[in-house]
Amino acid sequence: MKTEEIIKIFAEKKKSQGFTQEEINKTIFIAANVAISNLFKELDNVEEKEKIKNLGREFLRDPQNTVKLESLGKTVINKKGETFEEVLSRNLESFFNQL
Amino acid sequence: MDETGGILPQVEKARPGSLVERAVQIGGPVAERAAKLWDGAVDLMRKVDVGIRATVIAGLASLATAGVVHAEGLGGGIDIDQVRETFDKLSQLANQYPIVGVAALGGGLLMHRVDRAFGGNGLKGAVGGAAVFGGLALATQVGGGNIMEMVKKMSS
Repeated sequence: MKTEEIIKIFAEKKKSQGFTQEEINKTIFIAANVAISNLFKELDNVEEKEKIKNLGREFLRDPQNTVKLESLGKTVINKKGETFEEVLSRNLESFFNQL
Repeated sequence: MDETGGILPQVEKARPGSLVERAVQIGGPVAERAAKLWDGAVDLMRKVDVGIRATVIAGLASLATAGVVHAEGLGGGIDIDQVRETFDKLSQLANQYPIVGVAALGGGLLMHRVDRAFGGNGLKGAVGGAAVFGGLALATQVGGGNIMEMVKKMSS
């Protein structure tokens, strides 16, 4: 499932359960931090770490360029063949499912 | 079943307690720091370079205008040119602390998606997210804890 859909479904579900929009937004922000942190934890060799370091530096050179952002997000970062965004998205969904 | 023997409609009910409290409980220290940053905890940013701190605040304001974050008192947009210098600084710091760059990329990407999920074009979310998450990573590496350990590993 696409990241955008995961976020939309979570937000709509929590709204229907009576949570306020502000609480939902804050939770999404927290979940994003947890997802990024878990992405780091999953990296298990020098090659993967090196690849991800370069992605971060590359993005910071031009943070307004969303085309570049999309492209970097599609970079495969682990042995399973998952992209940067797929790993982030999986961790985000996993965290949402626990709430 | 209701009193006439019919089946009552199933209504999904919220689990008791605050959503944020559960998120912090499950997410641990990283979630706790994120919640504090959202609430504008100054102590989290105290040890961080003033320029970086300004970018984080501008980033929160940007996320707010993107409909992602309600940072009370931080209304208004983000001036890209104004924070350009700070992004350059974040980029330099990413050489020393790779977690800064990766958090900026991850935050930029996720907030880009959030912005679009809420009906925006994604740009404000991406830039604001990059500023906030890159700055948060820097703040936490200064503050210590689990992320500091990760920084050491990533930087070795």
